Formats: sequence, structure tokens, C-alpha cells
Amino acid sequence: MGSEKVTQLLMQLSGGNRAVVDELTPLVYQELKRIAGGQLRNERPGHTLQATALVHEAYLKLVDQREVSWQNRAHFFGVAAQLMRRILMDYAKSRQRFKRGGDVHKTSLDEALVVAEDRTSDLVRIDEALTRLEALDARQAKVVELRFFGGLTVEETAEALGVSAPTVKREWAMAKAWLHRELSAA
Amino acid sequence: MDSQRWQRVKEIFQSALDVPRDQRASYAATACEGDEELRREVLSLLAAEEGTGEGFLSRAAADYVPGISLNQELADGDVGRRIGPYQIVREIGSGGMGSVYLAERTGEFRQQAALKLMHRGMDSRMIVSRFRHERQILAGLDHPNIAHLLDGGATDDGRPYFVMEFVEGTPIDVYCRTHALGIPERLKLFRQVCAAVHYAHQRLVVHRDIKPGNILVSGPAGGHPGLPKLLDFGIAKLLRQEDTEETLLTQAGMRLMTPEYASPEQVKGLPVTTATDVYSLGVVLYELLAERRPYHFPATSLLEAERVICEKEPERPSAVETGARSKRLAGDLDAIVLKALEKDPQRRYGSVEQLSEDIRRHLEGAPIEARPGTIMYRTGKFVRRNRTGVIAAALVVLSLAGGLVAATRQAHIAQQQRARAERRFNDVRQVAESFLFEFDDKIRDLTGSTPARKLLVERALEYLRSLRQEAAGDRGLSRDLAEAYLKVGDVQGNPYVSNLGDTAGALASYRQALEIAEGVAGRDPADARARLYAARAHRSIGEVMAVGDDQAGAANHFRQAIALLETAGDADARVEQSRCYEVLGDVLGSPGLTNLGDRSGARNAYEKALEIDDRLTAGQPGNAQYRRSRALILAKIGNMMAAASDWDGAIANYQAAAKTLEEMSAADPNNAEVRRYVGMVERKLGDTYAARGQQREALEQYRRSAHGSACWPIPPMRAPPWTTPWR
Repeated sequence: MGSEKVTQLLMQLSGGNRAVVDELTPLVYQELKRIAGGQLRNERPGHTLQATALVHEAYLKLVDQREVSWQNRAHFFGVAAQLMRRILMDYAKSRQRFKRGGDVHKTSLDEALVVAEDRTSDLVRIDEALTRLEALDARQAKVVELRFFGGLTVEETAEALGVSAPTVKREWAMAKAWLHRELSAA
Repeated sequence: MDSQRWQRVKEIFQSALDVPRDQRASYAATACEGDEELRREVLSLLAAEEGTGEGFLSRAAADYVPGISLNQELADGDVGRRIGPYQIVREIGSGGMGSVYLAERTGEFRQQAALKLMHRGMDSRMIVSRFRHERQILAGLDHPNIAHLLDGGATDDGRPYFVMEFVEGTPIDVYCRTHALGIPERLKLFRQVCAAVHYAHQRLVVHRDIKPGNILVSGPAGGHPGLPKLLDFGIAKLLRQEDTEETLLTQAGMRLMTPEYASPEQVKGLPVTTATDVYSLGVVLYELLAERRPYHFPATSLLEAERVICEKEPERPSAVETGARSKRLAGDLDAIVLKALEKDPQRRYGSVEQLSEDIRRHLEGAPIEARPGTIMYRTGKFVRRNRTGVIAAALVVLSLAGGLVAATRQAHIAQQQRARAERRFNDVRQVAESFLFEFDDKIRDLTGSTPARKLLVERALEYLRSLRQEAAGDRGLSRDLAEAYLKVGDVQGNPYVSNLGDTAGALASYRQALEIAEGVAGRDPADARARLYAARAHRSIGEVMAVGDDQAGAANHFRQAIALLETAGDADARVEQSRCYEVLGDVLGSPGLTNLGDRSGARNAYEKALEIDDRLTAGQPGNAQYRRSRALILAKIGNMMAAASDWDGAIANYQAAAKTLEEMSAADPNNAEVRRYVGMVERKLGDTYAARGQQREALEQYRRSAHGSACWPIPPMRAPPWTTPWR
């Protein structure tokens, strides 16, 4: 489904046509949702699939492996990372807002104490700080988005941004320091 | 900061990172060329950089939101779906057990409602049958401050659901804050909530899960003050733990409730009565008055949360506030809140109405009924609190053990002969093993057993102290004593088992064990058992130190343990030595854990452990303990290789580990621990394939991992984070 189209768009993107991102995004988003929905129907509750695993599966479904290059793959993950951020933040915020808040079992004793604490609020603060960093240094913020939200490696991040791996490492180090300071200050 | 300035900061900061750590500050100072503000900015970022360590942002963002959130969130599978006469419009909340949707009743009477749909895995038959039983009562709750229950049942695919009046409002705590309500307004609002709860109690319905998130306030509108409404009345009772699949509730101690508002009787699994709601209302009132909760749980263990709820006295609300507000709360309001929060249901207000009336009296300036507890009553508390069956049992056993030791002593005094001494050893061994060890094993997971375990430890230490004086020069008794001290140390603070969190006490006991065992081994170097105990003591001391982040000290102890075992030849000694090499590797350089950064040292230590495990498994191929230990070492070596980007090596090791663990799991399908290890090693394999660019293989592993380990991603509760072979 859409494999040809996505592959085409990725190639255009690698060719420098940034405008196709808008066209690509909903296709990737739909696929992520579709896969997750399938997971939910087939699996018993409590089973979960990692964000990175979802992204990898979407990639296999959507992209024609014979056609694409390493750069195409990196771009795909770039788009997926942005989506993952959006999805996670929507979720985190809805969790915090609890408009109705009527769910008895929102926090079970188990979830709250045994599983690594609910760090939703940390995540929201990281996201907010990241948005502030975007205003200062868009590239640095992008590195965080790809690494932290998309689970990309340094090398994949370098490909997606078209810079060298050492540059990614330097940007990542500074972004982490900056975010750390922002989060400690509050 | 403008972008030019930022670029300048960035340049200096990033070049400073290339300079050795201790010279960075001076480098930055020079590079800033006297621009003081610039220097401050760079230095502050460099300081922040030191704070980031390996841990900061090292976990994926998705790990920050717990549970099954992600695919649940992505799916939206239920929006648009029809359930009975309702159509689901959108999700308005979700949690571990189910989601709440805004739904619309279709047909002649269009009506909005909140529909709570449980996830798969709950026994809908039982829930629905209970619902049928209770629905008349619940539907009969007709009160302006209670959200009406409209309907309920099971969907075609067998998921239970409940339909309730849709309430738009703000949780009561948020409402009070955002409208900056004064204390009298807060109290009046709270009394409306009390009225609703009392109304339900008169109809024999207990809420069981009162918390701000279940009390929504709408308005104020048109001059009318806010109207609070209670949600989910009686729902908690319909959903019971025993109907829930193990995959949803993996911990035996878990109950369906919100820990911050749970009463001691709920935590202990005792019967829930109207007094339970009085307690939860007390927590809510506390929060409304003091703007914080009475208890804070360090997110460490279930045991700790239970201990806090069942034992810790809350601070007076006035003590957590300052100034005029504190004065306003001191006296009456402190007394009212604390009376509602009594641990013993009998000591709380007899009804919600009484609580509400006392607040009214306070508002009117009349004397209240709640009186602060007297000193007599507070000192008597310990005895009253320990009236549970577990504790009683513990005391009986303790008194028996007391007799045993008395008999031991008499025997010792009366007879110096060998036969008697032999019996005495056995008695001591009995104290140490059957009493202390087995008994502790049995009660460790029981709720509320902490005080009993503390008593056990105290008594055991007393016996051991007195026996130690008699043991001088007696090799057999000394060895037994060393073993007993090791066991007491484990109960006090062994990071691998549910312990009492008494790190200092554990270290002291382990050191006693070490001293005694080393004494014996020093006199007789051929005493393998004594050397083993001494080594075990070294390792335990090291493990406690490692958890306390003293990796260097820990490594030192692990090395001494290894040296002690160098000449000992029996299987127990080799198992212990392998274990010592493993933990040594962990503290030296295990990726993802706090370590000393000595990667090659870590790798060497793991290889040594593997060598020993290889020999052990070759000797006894069927021994599950040896096999498991070997598989985990393989996984750890795989981690080291993955950290060094040696993907092929890592994959080979993970595969070997997975193969062994899978075989073990197939042979023993009920062993949750092995199953969890399988899942985790498969996940590591997936990560490694992904890193090597093999998406298809990675995905296959992720799938298998999700399939195999039922309770993933819940980390193993008993193992300290720094010892698990994965990040």
C-alpha cells in the first residue's frame, strides 16, 4: 500500500525537494496507526511494541527496498521521528490533562511504583524545553528529535541531516547540556 | 540570546569538549577573551554537561510514558464504533485497564455520555454478572453531586463497558487552585462532596476510589458556585483483581486502586467499608487545605509504599504550610484531617456525615468533636498496629525460638561434652536456617510484614551476639555463625531480594560474617567452607557498596572474594567465583550501568566467569542454575561487544544466550523469570540487528520479544538495576 508513492517521495526528498515532506507525513502516520491497530487486535493486552520497532515495520511496509538508498532510509526515519514526537506528546498531554479524569485505574499501584515511574511530566517538560531550543538552534533541536524521539543512531541522524557524525555528536552533547540546565532550573 | 551570540557560545563550548575535562574551565576563560557574560554562559553549560552523565536522555522518549500507551494511542481503534445504542465519538482518557470515551446515544433521544471501555483480558462474564447484580442499586443513586450510571454490559468481542453521565469539569484540586479559593470556600465545596458520599453510604454503596480525578467541579456560572460531581461510584467494586489476566496485573501484591489515596485496609487487602471512603476523603481534604498530599512515596518498592501507608504518621497540614495559612489550619482543621486519616478504621469518624458536621462546626466557630490524639494513645499505637495475623504468628515463632536458645545455653553450661556441642550446632543451624531464613522467605512478600521482619532481625542479632562469645575457638559453630550473619545481612539489605532497606545494618552483619569466617580460614587455610563464607561476605559487601555508587570499593571487595576462592575446588566455590567475576565486570564497565569505565577489565571479568560456567555446565549439562548463569554471562559479553559496535560478535553471543534460555523456557514454561530473560535477550538481538541495518530481522526479534515475555516492559522487581545484563 502506497509503497511506490512513498518511495518516490523519499527520492524527491533526497533530491532536495523539502516540500514533499508534507505529502509524506500523513502516509507514514497512517501506516504507523494501521500497524499499531493490527498489533492491538492480534496481541493480548499488556504486550507492547517499541517505538523503534513500529518505525522499522512501517519502513518495511512503505518503502521499496530495491529502490532506495541509505539517505532515503534516513529521511524516512526523520519523518517518522517527528511523528513519534507528535504522537507521544499528544498522548502525554492528554494523560496530564485528564479532562474528565474518570478512569479508576489510571494509575494502578503497580504502574505507579514498580514500573519506572510515570515520567509523563518529565517528557512534557523536555518537549517544552526542546521547543525553546528550536528557536535558538533548529539543527540542534532536530538532532534531539531524531535521537530521543525517533531512536535514531548517531550515524542515521547524520544522514538524515546531511552532516557528519562528529557534528551530530557535538550538537547532541551541547543540546543535552542545554536541556539539562533548562530542566534543572525550573 | 541572539543567534550570533549563540553561535559564539556554541563554538567555545564545543571546542572546550575536546579539551581534557580538568582544563575546560581555563580553556573557556581564555577563549572568551574577557567577555565575562559569555564566560559565565559557557561555564554554566559545561557544568550542566557534567551533570548529564550517561543517563540523561539515554532512554527513548516512548519509555517515559508507562504501559501500553503507544500502540493504544496510535490505534484509536474504537472511535466511531457502536456499542449498544452508543456511538463512540472520541477518547477523553485512558489508562492501564481501559479507556474512557465521549459517546453519543443515537436514535430518538440524542444524549452525550461517558463510556468506559475495558481492555481485553478482564473476565467480562464475572464483571457483567456483578454489574447486573448491582445495577439497580447503582442506577438508583440519584443525587445532584453524583454522576449517574446509565448502562453497562459487554461488547460483542467480550469487553466490559460502563456508560455514565458525561461531566465536563475540572478535578477539585485543580479547581480550587485555579479559582484561588479561600479555605472556607474549599471547605464548603468539600462538604458537598461529603453529602454525596454520605447519600451513597446510606444506600450501602462504597465508592472505594475517591480521589480528585474522580471529583469534577463544573462552573461557576451565572453567579452560581461550582458544582462538584463524583464519578465512578461503585465501579471499583465491579472490577476485581481476580478477573484480570496475569498479563495486566503481574505483581501479586497489586490491587486496583490509586496508591496515594488508598487506605491501610485497602493496601493490606482487608475488608473495605464506609470508613475507607472517610479515609480517602481525608486525603482529598488534606490536599485541598495544604496543597500537597500527606504521603510521598519514593518510587522504590511496593513494600515501601505499603509501609508508608500503614505506618507513617502524616504531618499536620499546618506544619506543611507557612504563615497565616498555617495558623488558619492549626488546631481544628489539623485535628479533623488527622482524625479522618487514622490508620485504624475504628478511630476515624464513624461516618462521612460526622466528618462533614465537624467541618460545619468549625466553620461556625463551634467546638469540634475531633480531638488530637493524646500521648498515651500515640505511644500505644505500635501494639495496636501490629495486631495482624502475620505479626501475631511472628511473635509466636519468636517466643518458641527464645525457648530454643535458652535450652541451647543451658545445655552448653551443663555439659562440655562433644555430643552436646554437636546438638548445639544443630540448634544454632536451626535458628539460622529454618527460623530466620525459611520464615523470612515465607513472610517477605506478605503485606504489612515489615515490622515482623524487623523484629526477626533484631532478635536474631541478639542471639548471634551472645552465641559469638561462646563460639570462640569452636570452628563448627563459628562457621555456622558466619552463615547466620550472612543471612541476617540479606534480610537487612541484600539488594537482590526484598529487604528492609537497612544498608548500614546489612554492611555491619556482612562484616561480622567476614571477620568470623576469615578468622576460621586464617587458622585453617584448608577450610573450604569458611573461605566460601568469607568470599560470599566480600561479595555482599561489594554489592551493597555498588548500589551506593561506590564502584571502586565494590570492585576491591569482589577481587578479594575472587582471590579467596582461587584455590578452592568444589562446585559451590566455583559458582560463587563466577558470580564474583560477573559483578566485578558490572562495576568495571558494563554499558548502561554506573561503572568505572574499564571496558577491557569488564570484558576480561565476564570471560573469566564464562570460563567457569563453561566448565560447570560441561560437568552437569542438566543443571538449570549453571545454564542460566552461563546464558546471562553470554548476554553481558554481547552487551560489551555491542557497545564496541562489534555487531557480529554481539549477535552470536545473544543468539547463544537466547538458545539456552529458550530451551530452558520450553522445559519449564511456568518460569516467568526465564521467560522474561528470553524476551529481553531477544529485544537486545533486535536492537543489534537494527544497528546493523537489518530491519527485517530486527522486527522479527522485536515481535518474538513481545510475544515471549508476558510482563515486559516491567523490569524485574527483585534485581537492582545495575546488575541486569541489559540496559
